[in-house]
Amino acid sequence: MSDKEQEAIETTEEEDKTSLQGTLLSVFFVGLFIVASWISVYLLFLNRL
Amino acid sequence: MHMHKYEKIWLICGITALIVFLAVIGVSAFYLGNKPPSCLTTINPEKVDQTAPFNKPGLHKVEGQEWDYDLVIVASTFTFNPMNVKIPIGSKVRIIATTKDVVHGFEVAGTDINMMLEPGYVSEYTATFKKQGEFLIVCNEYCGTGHHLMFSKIEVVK
Repeated sequence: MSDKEQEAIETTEEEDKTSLQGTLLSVFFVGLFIVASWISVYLLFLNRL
Repeated sequence: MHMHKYEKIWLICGITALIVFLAVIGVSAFYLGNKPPSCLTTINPEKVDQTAPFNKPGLHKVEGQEWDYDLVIVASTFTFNPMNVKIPIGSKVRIIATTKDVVHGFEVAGTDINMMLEPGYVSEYTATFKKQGEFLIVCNEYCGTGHHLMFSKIEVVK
């Protein structure tokens, strides 16, 4: 196996191992904010007459 | 196609939200029969005063319907007819309104009642008046120089 091929394999493996935990948390944080605003607007709709 | 596990999780969340909202619209329209305030009911805008029920604006008691009263409103630059309405507390009222000239708004401030009145169309909205007090009706579509003077009042009384 040439050096270049070996390098390519290593790069792929590294990309797969990249942690997306922070991204998942941030996305859920934004998602929760959106869901909370939907709920509050719906409650406002129900409470106004 | 390779996809990260977390990507799958938030794709599922997004797609679920889409399906839920589409289902809400479908159930609301086809099962509950909800429709927008102005829905295919037309009127000749030049003959509003001669066309029933708009020949008699005001609050009318109705029998044999899901609602207790019909509130007939005619909007024109720059007034609502009638100017003052007294509604008994707790009654379910179907508001039917139209305009004789330009586009007007019909908003009962601080409530969910908010619709657009377009010439040639009849808008309706059914609401239950549970809270006692005075409610201001305002035009919220710019209709001309007297737009800011265009208001009316609903009194919910015991």
